[in-house]
Amino acid sequence: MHKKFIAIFCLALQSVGSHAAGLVGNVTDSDGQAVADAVISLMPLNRNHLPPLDTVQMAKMDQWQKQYVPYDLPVLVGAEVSFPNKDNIKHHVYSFSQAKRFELKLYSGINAEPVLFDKPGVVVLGCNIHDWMLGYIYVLETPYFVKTDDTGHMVIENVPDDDYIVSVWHPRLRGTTKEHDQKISLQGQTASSVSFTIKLKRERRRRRLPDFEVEEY
Amino acid sequence: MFRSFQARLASIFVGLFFLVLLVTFFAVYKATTYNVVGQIKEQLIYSNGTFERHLSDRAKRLSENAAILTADYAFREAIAAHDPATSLSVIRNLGARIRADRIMLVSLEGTIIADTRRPAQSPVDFPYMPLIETAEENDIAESIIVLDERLYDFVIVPVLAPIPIAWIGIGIEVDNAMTHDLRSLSPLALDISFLQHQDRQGWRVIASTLHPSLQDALPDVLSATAIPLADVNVSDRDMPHLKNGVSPNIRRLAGNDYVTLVTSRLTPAYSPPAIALLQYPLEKALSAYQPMFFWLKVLSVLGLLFSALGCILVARSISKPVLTLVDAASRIEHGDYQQAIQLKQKDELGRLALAFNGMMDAIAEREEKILYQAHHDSLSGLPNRLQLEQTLREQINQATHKKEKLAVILIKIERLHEINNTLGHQIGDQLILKIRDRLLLLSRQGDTLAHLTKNTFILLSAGTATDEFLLLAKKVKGLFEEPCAIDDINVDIHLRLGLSFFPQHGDSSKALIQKADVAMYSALQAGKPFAIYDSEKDTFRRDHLSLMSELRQGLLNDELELYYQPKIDLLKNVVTHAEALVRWNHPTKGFMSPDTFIPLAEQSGHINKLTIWALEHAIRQCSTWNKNGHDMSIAVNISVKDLLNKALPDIIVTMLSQFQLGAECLVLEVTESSIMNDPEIALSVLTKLHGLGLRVSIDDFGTGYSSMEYLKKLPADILKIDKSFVMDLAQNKDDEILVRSMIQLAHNLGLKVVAEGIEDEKALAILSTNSCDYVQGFFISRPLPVDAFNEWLNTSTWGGRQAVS
Repeated sequence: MHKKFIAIFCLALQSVGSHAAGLVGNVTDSDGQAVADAVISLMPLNRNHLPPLDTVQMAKMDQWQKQYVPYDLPVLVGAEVSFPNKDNIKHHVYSFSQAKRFELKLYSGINAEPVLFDKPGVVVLGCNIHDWMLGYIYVLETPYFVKTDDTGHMVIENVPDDDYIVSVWHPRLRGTTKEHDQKISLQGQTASSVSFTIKLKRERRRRRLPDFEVEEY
Repeated sequence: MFRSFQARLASIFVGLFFLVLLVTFFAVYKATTYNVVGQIKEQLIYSNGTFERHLSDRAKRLSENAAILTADYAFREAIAAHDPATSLSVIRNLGARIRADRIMLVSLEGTIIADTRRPAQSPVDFPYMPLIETAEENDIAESIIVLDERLYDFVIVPVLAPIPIAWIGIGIEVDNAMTHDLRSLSPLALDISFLQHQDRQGWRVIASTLHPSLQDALPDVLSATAIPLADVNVSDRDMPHLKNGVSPNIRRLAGNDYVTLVTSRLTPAYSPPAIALLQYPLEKALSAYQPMFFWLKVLSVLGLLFSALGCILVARSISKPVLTLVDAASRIEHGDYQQAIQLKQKDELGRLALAFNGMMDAIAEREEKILYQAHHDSLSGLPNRLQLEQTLREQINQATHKKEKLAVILIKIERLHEINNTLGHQIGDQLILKIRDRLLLLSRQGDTLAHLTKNTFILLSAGTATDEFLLLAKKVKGLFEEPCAIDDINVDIHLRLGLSFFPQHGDSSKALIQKADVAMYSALQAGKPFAIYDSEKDTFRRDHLSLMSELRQGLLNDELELYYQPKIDLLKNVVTHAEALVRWNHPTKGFMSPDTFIPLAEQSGHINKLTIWALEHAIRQCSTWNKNGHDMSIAVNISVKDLLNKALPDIIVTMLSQFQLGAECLVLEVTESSIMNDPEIALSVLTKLHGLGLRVSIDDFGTGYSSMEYLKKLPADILKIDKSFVMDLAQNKDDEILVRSMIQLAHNLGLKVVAEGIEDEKALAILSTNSCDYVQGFFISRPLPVDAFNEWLNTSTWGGRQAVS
């Protein structure tokens, strides 16, 4: 479902740039395992080359079966994210992150107002009722980003020819994003490729799950 | 040390018993202690486990509580607000809720944001990052650590929102209250102490149930046992509790023994070392056994006393009869054989007592026999000298009381030696018995007959008058006028008697016997059958003894001088011989007669020196005369004692050659009586001298008892007729007949005859008529000193001057 969302988003970009380039890449962990849900983003060396923000971005973080879906959600700064509750119980969404401190107290359905993420950074989402619920909203300053699929691969198309810094982020990233940054120059039709190897922190989500719900996940 | 057997026996057995007791007591004590200590050790190990679980449980509970509280939304919100003041108040509140001693808020970066113990502190780094790393992995970390020199059971938990946004550190301080809590968990009231080690200060007590005064000594316990910290193998990530403790043992603390368990290091390697000490006083552990030890001691002492008593009784039962035996032995030693030993025992000692009694009887019997033998002559069975002296002492005592007199009559059998040699000892012994029998016939009631030496008897008689004793002596003499008949042989018995009287001659038995002996000797000298003691003739008198020493001195000091009396050869009517006669001019007593000192010199043994002196002077003088043209021989008187001097012949030979005098010029005059005293030796010596060429003259012939038979054997050359026959020759016809017979007899035997004591011309004529060879006497000349003699030679008609010239 989210792949479809990215595809639509990319088609929109294509119409803006005069020339468009592509980038393929993959992310693996230190054990050589494919890393899914990693966010790869491209930031032009010259930030003035960023396209202007003319429309409000809309995104959605579902709460389904007492989990945030998706696990992590990259958004462009200024995006408004809605938190539809698809469970038949109430949730209490909160974030103590500096990028966005907010809480959505005990609600169900979609009656919660979308939340504006106007500062770049990582916003960690929790639920005050269900301690194990964990989700991330990654607020980016660049529109060129994509998540790796289950095989750890990703493709970015229709990026204007330019010099970029390619960054990687993951909820369980050990260390900083900056230390993994790579410079890349995208030119013409040929697709460039990038590869990241990152270290991961332990998975916290599963540990917090009561046993009886493991099977459901 | 212990002189008596009793004490030694007792001490040995009591000592052994004491030793056994000591060993037993020691063994019981050791076993008990070992057992008790073993139990205490087990208890300590068990308690150690309990404490370990307790701490673990407590940490778990604490972390659970903390987890719940930190999950509180408001709490998280407050922490997330990053406001230090708020944070501090929030963690204080948390501390109060979970009753923790110290709460810390640590940032994800490891900085202490807030600390309830140090509220005003500016942010510092949390010192134990490994603990936080553990917490990152496990969402909880627990360890005993040292913080600010305090010991904490410390838990780190995250503040989850929902991922960690900060760390909360929760500390339970290990303090005295906690040690008391821990102690209350143990059934044993043991002491628990926690110590921390600082590099500079060493071990330091952090908390303890011990009395503060004892706590000061605790580090010494550890340093004395030197627990090397390297031994403690704790990896960084271990969470050591009170496990792997060193096995308990006994350690001394402030003078008392404690069963002690030292845990291994409680803290991880990144924190300063800390350990726990579990102790239980040994004394307290053993206190339950103290009554047992006490009664064991009491029983031991009682046992010792009883064994000592028993030993003394046993020893006494042995030593008492032994002492009885010792007493008996001592009695036997002192000659008491009458009292038999009374021992009723049937054992070895009883048998020993019987043996003692037997021995006593045997000794008594033997002693009686020895005593009898000691006091009686084995041949005659008469009392011997020993018995005589004893009897005499008793008689002297009696006589003193009764004012009586005693006579000691010494009876000597003469010529017994000769009889033995001729007829054999058996006959000699029989003769002695016959003599004994005759003497016993004579002895009256109260008289004692003793047998002193083989040829000497003593008759002891008590009476009132001296005449009585003389009569008795005569009777004795009369007894033996008849010869004794033994095996058809008739043997003439010659007795010589000496008498001494009590109190006249002495008051001791020894003196009286000796004086009787002296009297007998003087009778012999005088040629009488018996003599009464005369002090004048007693050479053993003290003044006589001193005279002898003076004589020795006189010989050296030339106080003695030789006088010479000429002898005329009647055939030639000229002097051919001179007799040398010794004179002593005593420095204080003046001129001394030879009759006074010669017998003394003979008896005292000084005669040898005197004779040699006289020989030397006489030979030299005679040699001088011969050199001066006088044909002269010299006669020297020789005592019977000189004849016993075996060196005499050699000495004479040396002298003769020294003064160049022919042997034929020396005449040795020997008295008849002296030869008869010991004829055998006299005979042998005289024969030897005669063999040298000397001439031998028998002096005083006619006074003794010499038989013709004996005379024939003698190697004599000259017979000298005693002056008693010559002096009255002119008046007495009998003497003339006697002298004539003697001259004829001598001539028949081939002997020359000398007559001495010529006092008148008539006697000279008679002798000349009867062919006497030589004469001497006052008529011719009295003995003269050398100068006077030489003068006489020149002036006298017999001087031979004419012949020479």
